[in-house]
Amino acid sequence: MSDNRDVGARSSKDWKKSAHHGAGEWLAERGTSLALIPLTLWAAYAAYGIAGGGFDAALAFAKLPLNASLIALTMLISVWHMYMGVKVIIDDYLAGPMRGVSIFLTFLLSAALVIATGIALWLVHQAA
Amino acid sequence: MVELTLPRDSKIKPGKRYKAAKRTKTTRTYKIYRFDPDSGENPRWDTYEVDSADHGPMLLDSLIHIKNNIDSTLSFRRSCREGICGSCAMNIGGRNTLACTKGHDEFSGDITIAPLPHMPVVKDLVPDLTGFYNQYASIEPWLEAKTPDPEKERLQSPKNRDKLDGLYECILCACCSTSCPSYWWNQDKYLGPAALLQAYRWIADSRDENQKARLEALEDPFKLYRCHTIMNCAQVCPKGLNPAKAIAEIKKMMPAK
Repeated sequence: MSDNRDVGARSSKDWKKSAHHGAGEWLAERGTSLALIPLTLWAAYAAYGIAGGGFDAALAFAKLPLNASLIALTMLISVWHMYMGVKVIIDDYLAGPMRGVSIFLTFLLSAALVIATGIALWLVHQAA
Repeated sequence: MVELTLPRDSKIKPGKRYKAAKRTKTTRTYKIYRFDPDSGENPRWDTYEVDSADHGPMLLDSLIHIKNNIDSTLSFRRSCREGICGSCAMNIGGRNTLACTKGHDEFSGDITIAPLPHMPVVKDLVPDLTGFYNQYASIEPWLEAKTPDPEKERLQSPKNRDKLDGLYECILCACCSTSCPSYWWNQDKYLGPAALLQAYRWIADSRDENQKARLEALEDPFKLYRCHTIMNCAQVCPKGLNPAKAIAEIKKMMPAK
């Protein structure tokens, strides 16, 4: 019978190497999940409050410094949480160059969302 | 990386059918995965009709009966026939288990028997566990102490000994690791539930003095953190252990190390 052993298998010595990170990301995933519980409830309550008020009600709401800060915080933590979650899925299912490209595109989309939030809040602040 | 379809040379084709001379109420049909790398052919499903009254109650008895009386070319691993060596781990009825502790009367209809999923196949029901054993060896599964050896044994309180329950019983059959989708897709980077449960077995041992280095060696986005608590490992473990819980304990200890 031919020797059909998995010659490509990593050696036990090679398996001992570690990237020495991962715990920080694990904590951040859980930390952002916990932070999003009150922030999402606040966002839902706020959306209910301004529902039906049109553009003027939304503008007045977002102009208040506390609301603007909470919108910024909610978006920042949501996008960070989303980025980490999508990266986990990419790491699970993709390998090679496709993995790097997908993570980079996810990062670009996440950064664009954060920047767009910042610009929107700045425009609200500038609005008369 | 994920593979959603089998490679062309791994696609399973219909195989031979070994009919029983006379079907009775106790005749069972076994659909068994057959693969011989020397033949150059694709794997196939061979079908065997066997009278359960002719052999013992376990699926390993059925396999031994088939090998001894119907088809001597069938290959499978077995040794202890009492659930302690882990040799006869295979996928039976779509679920990883030990053939020696699973009764054929626990299944209705035809019984499908295949090797442990997503592993290279040496022949028929014999998977290549080279990579799996290398993963196990890498976690240094032995007691590491810096303090000089005591005159007699290293003592442990009953309370600390209790922490090893649910861990030391692992027989390394590979049922858990090969049932884990994360392990299927990333077994070249993820240690898998069996190796991680064994790693925690030494991390949790009060006599081991190398806990910090053990944790540092495991801190890796792929080696440890590919576990997403899918829980297939705990569902299939023939010893009733919970590797996912052991992995969760390692994750909890990691930030404070």
